[in-house]
Amino acid sequence: MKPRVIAASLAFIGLSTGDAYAYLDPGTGSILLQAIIATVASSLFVIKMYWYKFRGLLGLNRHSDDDASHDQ
Amino acid sequence: MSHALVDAGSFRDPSGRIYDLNGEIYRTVLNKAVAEFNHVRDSGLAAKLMSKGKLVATEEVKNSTLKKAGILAPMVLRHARIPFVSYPYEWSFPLLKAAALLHLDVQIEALRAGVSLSDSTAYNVQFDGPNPVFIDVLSFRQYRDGEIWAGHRQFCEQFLNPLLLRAYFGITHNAWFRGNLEGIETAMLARMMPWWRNFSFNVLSHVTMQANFQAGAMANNAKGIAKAKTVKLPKLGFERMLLSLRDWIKGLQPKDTGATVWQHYAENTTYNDAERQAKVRFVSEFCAKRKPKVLWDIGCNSGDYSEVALGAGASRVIGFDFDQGALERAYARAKAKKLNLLPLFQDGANPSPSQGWANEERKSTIGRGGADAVVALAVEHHLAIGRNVPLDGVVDSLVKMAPAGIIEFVQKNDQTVQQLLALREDIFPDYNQANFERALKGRARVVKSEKVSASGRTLYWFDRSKK
Repeated sequence: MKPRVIAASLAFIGLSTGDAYAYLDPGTGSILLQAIIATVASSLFVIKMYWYKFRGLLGLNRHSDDDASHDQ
Repeated sequence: MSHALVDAGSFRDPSGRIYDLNGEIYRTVLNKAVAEFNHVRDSGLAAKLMSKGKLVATEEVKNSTLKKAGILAPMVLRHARIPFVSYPYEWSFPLLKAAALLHLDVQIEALRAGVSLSDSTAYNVQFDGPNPVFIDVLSFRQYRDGEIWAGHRQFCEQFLNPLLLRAYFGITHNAWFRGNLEGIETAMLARMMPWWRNFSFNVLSHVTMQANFQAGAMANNAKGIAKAKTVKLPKLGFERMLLSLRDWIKGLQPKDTGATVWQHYAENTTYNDAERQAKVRFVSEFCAKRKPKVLWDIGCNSGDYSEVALGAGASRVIGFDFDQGALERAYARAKAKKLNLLPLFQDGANPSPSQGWANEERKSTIGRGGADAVVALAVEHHLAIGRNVPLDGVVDSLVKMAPAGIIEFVQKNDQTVQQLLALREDIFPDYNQANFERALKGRARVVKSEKVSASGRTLYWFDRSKK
């Protein structure tokens, strides 16, 4: 299962090279995962955004002042 | 030549080191890091974070400042001193959560300013009262297009995993984290995660998949590294990942493990109002007279007397307790009432050791010191009877913590001591007030003492100075 998961994950990854520059070893598992998480997180965020827009239209949104995403 | 003490915990990042010179905290900026720091300063990020209290106050000083101590560096910074450095294994759940959210907030703001962080170590967050502050300005680097989040794995091990341990399993992270200073390994957490938790994409990805990918890469190391080197993370994806982690962590709460023993102490105490009033008066008088800048409240519980001390003249209280419920209440109290109180996890009979590389990377509790005063109310009997520490040793360790303080002695016939002895043999023939006083007077002057309960509980105000 694991090689297939990796293969699937690579499908998401744009292939280009460039060393992570840090004194810290980021860990192979973390790196391989990040491309997937980033893609899914982006899609979920878009869905959520539309969900809130939809709720906004119905006047259902509560205000949250403790959120970095509203921080700008 | 002045003597500058290099901080033993600051060696990991070659960008600079921390020095303590005559009580001032300096950071050298070395080599490549100078350009990186200039970029961060010019981006306005550092100033913005400082104005919001998210980054420790930092200023550039002449690099000749450290020259007289024999240290040469192209750039030198001075930081506001953190009054008491604490470690993630001393934080309760809400403190660790606040630190995690701060770390993410700093990263999100940084990314938006074209800056990334070279690591995600929890030791880069410190507390000023109950509020987290980021302390490592040299973690900031110019963001390079497509770079991965180098600190993701470390963030998981030092923030996310210990929080999940408590939120999903009701297991506190402190002992495990203290044993492994890098945090809770993702592979370990993945092993205990029930399968149905993977319906959450957050768990599936950050825990299960990360552990599986890591295991897969370990099995075929060269191939794994080669693949990892090709990964590019778009900036938008990076930011969304940080935001969704923030959302997840913001919603985490300790699993309901039932009220802990001390959680309702304040409402359910073993002494009546008159006794409480007497204690409040005694602590208030002491604090008004001594005006301690830093007071240690040993066995602080929910911070009842910490609050009294702060109201009466103490500037800052570091509380120590071993009960998570009480610590969480103390934190909530400090936040709600804006108290300069930092409640930390600590087992009085087994305080934090000096540990890490060369046994000195992370300092012992006593070694960090800095208390002007100590208050130990209803603590002594838990150590002397509950943990079999000789009475003389208990007094010795408490008196050594600060030049002056208050210690409460609890009589053997007191209800709480009787509870401690209920199921065990009384092997404490020498536990009595006379021996307590002998131990105390051998080490300090007793300025004042007062019996505060019918059972004979007595408060002692001690002072180590020779009048």
